[in-house]
Amino acid sequence: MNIALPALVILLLLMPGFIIRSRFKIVERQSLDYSPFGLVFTEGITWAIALHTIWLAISLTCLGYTFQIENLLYLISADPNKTSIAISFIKDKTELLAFYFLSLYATCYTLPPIIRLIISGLRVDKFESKLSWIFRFHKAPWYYLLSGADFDKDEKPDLVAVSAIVDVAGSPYLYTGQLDEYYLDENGKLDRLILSNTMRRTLDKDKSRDNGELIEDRFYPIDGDYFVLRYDEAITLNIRYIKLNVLD
Amino acid sequence: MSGNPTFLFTLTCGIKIGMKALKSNLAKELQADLKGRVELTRFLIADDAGKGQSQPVVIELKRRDGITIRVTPVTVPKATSSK
Repeated sequence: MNIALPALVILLLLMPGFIIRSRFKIVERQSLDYSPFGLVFTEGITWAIALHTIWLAISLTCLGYTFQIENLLYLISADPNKTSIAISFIKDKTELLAFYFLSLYATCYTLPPIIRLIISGLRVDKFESKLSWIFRFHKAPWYYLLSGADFDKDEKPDLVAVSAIVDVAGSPYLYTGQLDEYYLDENGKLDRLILSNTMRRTLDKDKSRDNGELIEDRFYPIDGDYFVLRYDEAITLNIRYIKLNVLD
Repeated sequence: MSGNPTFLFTLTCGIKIGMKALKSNLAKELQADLKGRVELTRFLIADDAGKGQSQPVVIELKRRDGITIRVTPVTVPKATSSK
């Protein structure tokens, strides 16, 4: 079996850049990364160069190992003699190379969630932040809308209320409830909302009447602990942020 | 901390297709209390109908530690929109 060694080496070298790029992003879809190929490639290569620069600097500082580029070039060379020279050179440094790549790959896998946690904790990704153009996860709009991530910590609401108009057998109904959970489909589109304490009324009871009817009498509760509202079936969706102020 | 949606979201691999919405512990306590739940729902539907009360709604909530607190729900604006 023939192994394309140069291709394998390049793959090993570039892979960390693509791992950290994919792990760092927050997206609300799971099927495909629709980013243009050029952008993906550029970001991946840039990350890889930056990571290798850092790792080589650490290797030089901590282990005294100096990177010799000619061995890398020999390794990806088409000349079998030069490849043999490079292989004989790295043969004695197998543990060092294994540690280099394992530590690099492990960092690429574990570091991005920690960085995301710091970004969210410092709120530098919120819409009004001056640094949002760098740190905001633009491909996760529902997260910001329904999780209160755009609010300052001390101004954060206590819950999200949702009102939706749904067509039921030709009659529009208004559903109102507290949002508990939400789900997205594989393309990042809102799929369904899980509501609790849901009430509903027909939309024709929207107008105020002078018959002394109380607002709450127009609604009737829906039995059950949770109400699943499919986003496709909602004609309009109204979202309100509710703050519970504790009085002295 | 495990109930914090931001924490849950950021700790995962970055691809998220389902998660808990914003809900504080106080809101959960209010939801668990029968009277509080009814009062909060009443506030939501009144607010939804655009019938903001002249007097703010005050909900009494007896907490697990036996202390009764008074809570008033208000709708807060969101200055920015991400959608």
